Amino acid sequence: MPWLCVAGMVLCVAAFPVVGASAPPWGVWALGAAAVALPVSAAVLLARTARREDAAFQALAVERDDLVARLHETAQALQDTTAALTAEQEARANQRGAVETAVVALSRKVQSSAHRIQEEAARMVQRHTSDPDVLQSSMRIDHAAAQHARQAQSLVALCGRRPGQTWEDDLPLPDVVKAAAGRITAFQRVDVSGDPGLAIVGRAVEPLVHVVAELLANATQCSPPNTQVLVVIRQVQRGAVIEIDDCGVGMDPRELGRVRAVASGERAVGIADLGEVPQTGLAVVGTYARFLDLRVDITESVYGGLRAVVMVPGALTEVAETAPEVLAPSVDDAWETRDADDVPPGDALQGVAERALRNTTPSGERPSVQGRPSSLATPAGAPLLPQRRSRRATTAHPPTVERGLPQMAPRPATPDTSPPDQTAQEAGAWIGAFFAATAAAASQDDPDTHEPSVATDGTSEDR
Amino acid sequence: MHSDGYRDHPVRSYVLTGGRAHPTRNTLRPETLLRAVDDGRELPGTAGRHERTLLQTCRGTLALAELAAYLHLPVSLVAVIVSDLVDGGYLAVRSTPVHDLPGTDLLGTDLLEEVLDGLRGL
Repeated sequence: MPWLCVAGMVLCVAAFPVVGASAPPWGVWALGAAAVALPVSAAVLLARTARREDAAFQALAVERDDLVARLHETAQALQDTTAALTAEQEARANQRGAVETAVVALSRKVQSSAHRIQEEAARMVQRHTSDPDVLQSSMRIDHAAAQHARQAQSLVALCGRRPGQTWEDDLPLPDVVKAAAGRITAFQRVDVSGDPGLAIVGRAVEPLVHVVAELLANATQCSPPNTQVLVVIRQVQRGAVIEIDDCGVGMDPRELGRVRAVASGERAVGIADLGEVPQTGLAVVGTYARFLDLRVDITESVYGGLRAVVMVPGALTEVAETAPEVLAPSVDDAWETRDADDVPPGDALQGVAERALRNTTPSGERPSVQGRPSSLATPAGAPLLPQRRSRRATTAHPPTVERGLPQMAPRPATPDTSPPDQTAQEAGAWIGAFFAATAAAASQDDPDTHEPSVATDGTSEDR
Repeated sequence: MHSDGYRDHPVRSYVLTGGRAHPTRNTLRPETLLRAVDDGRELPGTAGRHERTLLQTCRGTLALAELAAYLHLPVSLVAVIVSDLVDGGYLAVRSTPVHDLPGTDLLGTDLLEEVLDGLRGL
């Protein structure tokens, strides 16, 4: 509008010379008035507009300040919330850590008590060493305790900790599977085949046994009870492979995908992620797969069920020794002797043999003397005689007296006044060996050279 | 690892025998003599290292109790494995040898104790 007024004024001034000559005097006056009035009104209008705009600007500025203040407030609140959240998360993590520590501690206690039960079961058999009924009970107790220990160790694994049990010696692969089978309920259904002559190094034995045990547990649970679970062990370029096939009904593809992610260790599952119906097996497998760098895969089996494949890297395998020292849990007095005195193994074994025979004899019954002696003489004419482990016998023992006739321990220079610590059975065994040695000397030309072996005197075979 | 002579092992005894504690034959005694049959037959592929080790140990004649001691296993457990091997014809049972002592086939306890006393008196 102000610009329209200015334009009008310019028009009036421009029209003045044209109109001024011909127009009546009132027209000239009108034009002059318009030329004056128009700028004035333009100025008035401009001033009013400016005032109005200024007011709007003021209002906007106020609004802006208000907004800035609120923004500051919000930012502050956000910061506070973030801090609170971090603190809460930290507290939760601490709490979770504390819970996990407690779970691990308790599980380890449970596990070690299960192992004590197993040890007691083994001792029970050793006390009644020739009673099959005791062995049966011991086996049942051992089996129950083994499963107990496995469950406890699963909890430890789900808390991200290493297994509580450790083994020093390497274990051949078929024995790894057998050890794993011993920890599940239906161990009789596990059928192992293939022995590539590889052993698993000591530090990896327990985790791998646990992994295979969990896979076997799944396989036996997911297949009909009258079917076998087939385990095949193979050697491959990069290590060894254990394949476990069950004859169940398999799994739908989506579920299979989830299961594979968990078992391979791709998807970590902790103890907090288990849910109401905890399924620990595959989560444990995944945990240990990450620890040991195992490759675990679960696929459809050609038998209709599932096939679990465990690839053990070559770093965890060794060539298996041919002669294992220990085959199964044992209770044996000779271990200490052997470790402490470093006596020759043959010597230690003799002691073991003596004790074993002594232990097998029910109280009151004398050991059969005939059975003893011949069995301890080597056909090469060097009768390995039972040596008592008394103080007298161990004080001096020259190796030269190993051959030939049975010998007594040399008498000590000072007479031993302590009461004789041998039993009648021990003495009987010794005397038996005495007689056997003479028999063995008579038949020295036995061609057998195996050790341990025996001079045989006229016996008939009975299969 | 082991205290008081106990030595643990990952492979449990019930797995070795398939859960059986009673041998298939009840004639096996701790003093029963055993000997591996050397007829060139190999153990089947399904046989474990335990059976192989047992047969290897038993190349010469050994009493069941001795065998158990060499293998560090309970006699009753070895009896189960042994009777399976005997059934399979891989192991032979030898009848207990009889000493040709005059007049008796068993040494009397009294006699043994007398001899023991005599030896102690040496």
